[in-house]
Amino acid sequence: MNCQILYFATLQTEADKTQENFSIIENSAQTCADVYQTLKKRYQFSLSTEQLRVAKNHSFCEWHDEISAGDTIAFIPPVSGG
Amino acid sequence: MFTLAKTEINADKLKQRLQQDQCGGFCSFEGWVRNHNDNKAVDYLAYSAYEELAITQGNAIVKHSLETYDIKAAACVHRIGTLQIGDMAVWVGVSAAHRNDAFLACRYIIDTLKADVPIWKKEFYSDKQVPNWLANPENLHQ
Repeated sequence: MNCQILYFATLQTEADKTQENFSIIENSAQTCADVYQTLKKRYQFSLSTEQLRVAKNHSFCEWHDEISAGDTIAFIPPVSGG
Repeated sequence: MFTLAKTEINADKLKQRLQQDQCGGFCSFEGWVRNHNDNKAVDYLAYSAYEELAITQGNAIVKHSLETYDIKAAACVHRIGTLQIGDMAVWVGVSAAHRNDAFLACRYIIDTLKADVPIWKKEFYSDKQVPNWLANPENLHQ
């Protein structure tokens, strides 16, 4: 029961990867926030959930949204387009 | 419509696509890579994007501009990849019957893009300091 995690910008640098699979069961994760907290500890991410947005399956979602096997979760650092 | 471009933006071609006989006003914005930021000399930039979401969000912004302002057509293109000083990073164009809403819609599109679209800029410095991921002050959600 995996979901795919996408990393961008600062988080990509800190995780030293652009994406990875994440086991929902092994990590006891139910929500997007659960996923991030596990990964934040693992990689010592410098950004908190207050500084990020989260997307599920290529749409913005809420941190308390539940995750399912096969979901793609992306953590969105403060953007800098333009 | 909103698109991401991996090669040089052709502003003339984009403008031609927005020209319509019923339009008397055209407004465009071009964002160029400049050679300094925050008192540091910049060598070049690298733009990256969450492409699926950037395109969805960018198209939503252009669509909202067409619904909100009295304009006939609008388009926006943003580069991704490595850009050198003077390169065009983003192009916004709006055509309308009259200039007022063309100006307003153009401003709306670039301001909202800078706040909301998942595109990131990394600066590389002339003095070889550690490259820096930037964050726009326009971010609405942070």
